[in-house]
Amino acid sequence: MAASDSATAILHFRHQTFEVPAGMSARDAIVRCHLNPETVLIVREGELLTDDVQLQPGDRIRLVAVISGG
Amino acid sequence: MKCRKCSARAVINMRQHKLALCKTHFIAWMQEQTERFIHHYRMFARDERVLVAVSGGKDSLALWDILLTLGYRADGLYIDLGIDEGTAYSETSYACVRAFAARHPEAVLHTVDVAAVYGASIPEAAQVFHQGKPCSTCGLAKRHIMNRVAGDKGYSVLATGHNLDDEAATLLGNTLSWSVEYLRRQGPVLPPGEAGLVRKVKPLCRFYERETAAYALLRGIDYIYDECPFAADATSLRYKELLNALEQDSPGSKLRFYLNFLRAREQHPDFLPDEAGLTLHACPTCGQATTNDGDCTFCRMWDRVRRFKAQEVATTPA
Repeated sequence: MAASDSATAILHFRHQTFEVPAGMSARDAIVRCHLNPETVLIVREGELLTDDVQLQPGDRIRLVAVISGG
Repeated sequence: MKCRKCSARAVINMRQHKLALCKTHFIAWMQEQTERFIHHYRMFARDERVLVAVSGGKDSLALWDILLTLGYRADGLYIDLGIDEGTAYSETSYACVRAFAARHPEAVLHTVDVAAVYGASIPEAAQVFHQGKPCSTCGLAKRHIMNRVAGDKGYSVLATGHNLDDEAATLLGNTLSWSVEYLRRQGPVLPPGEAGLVRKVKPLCRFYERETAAYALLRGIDYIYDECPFAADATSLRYKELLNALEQDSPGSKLRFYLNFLRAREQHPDFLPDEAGLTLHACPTCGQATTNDGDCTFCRMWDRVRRFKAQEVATTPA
């Protein structure tokens, strides 16, 4: 995916990278990436965030998958 | 979003409880709730020695951490299954368990290396016994070894890190197939049986998987993030996906599904385990409880694996 510009935020999930517009909530951004917000945790600069947080331009977010088992 | 208790920045919002908490209050809430569930379901008493089955994943290490923080006498059991598949899965998970144990000198870590003790890794044994994915072999081996070690080392309780998502997925699977016997035996506590079966408990069974993962992250517990390489297409993951799709639109769906099942079990005797209908014998080889007339399935499996390996050696040209 293209490198971020100042108006976007980047979401990393496993081996995938998503670029979304800044200004949207983390929850909306996760849904936009076709992921289920119930199945991830949102981490920015080592801090755990709630999904109502508004993404800032240049944010790099790590989505931690929480589903495990077999 | 603010913490309900102190108005600091919340780190997690649990929509099913309408509860957002900051780091400090979330960690305390997880520990208090676990204590409450232990008492509510009469899992174990303060003076009992608890063996925690640890895999290196978030749930089991979170459970061990919570029990030690609460002051329980909780030791760990790691079973090295010998799973690699190019991912060094067992090696990495064992490293996480050892790192945790090193930070807790008050607790003992027991380790069973399956290949060293029984002569083959789980994937190798599965090739012979189940001839396919090793999940059934793995489950059989873990249940047997956990019970044996708990009994041999004098633990009265075996605790596993099953969370609500695990339990709800199992419940969905058992309901879809109307597996009545499995439904009867699914609960936070599996009482001790005859012939040396220890009590099995699931103190995290009412926490969502997001919560145990958040707890592990916030406590700085290094756990293995990657899935078992054999779990990729597991049916239970498909069930979790379905339940989380419901949860996304209707917060609390998973919790209601599981808790209403537990209530139904209490109210309808038909749901209670039918111990009288289950005849257990001691396996003549290992002494553990089995419904088989002769050797238990675990001993039969290893007998077949050893015979297969011996045959392989005999037929390999020098």
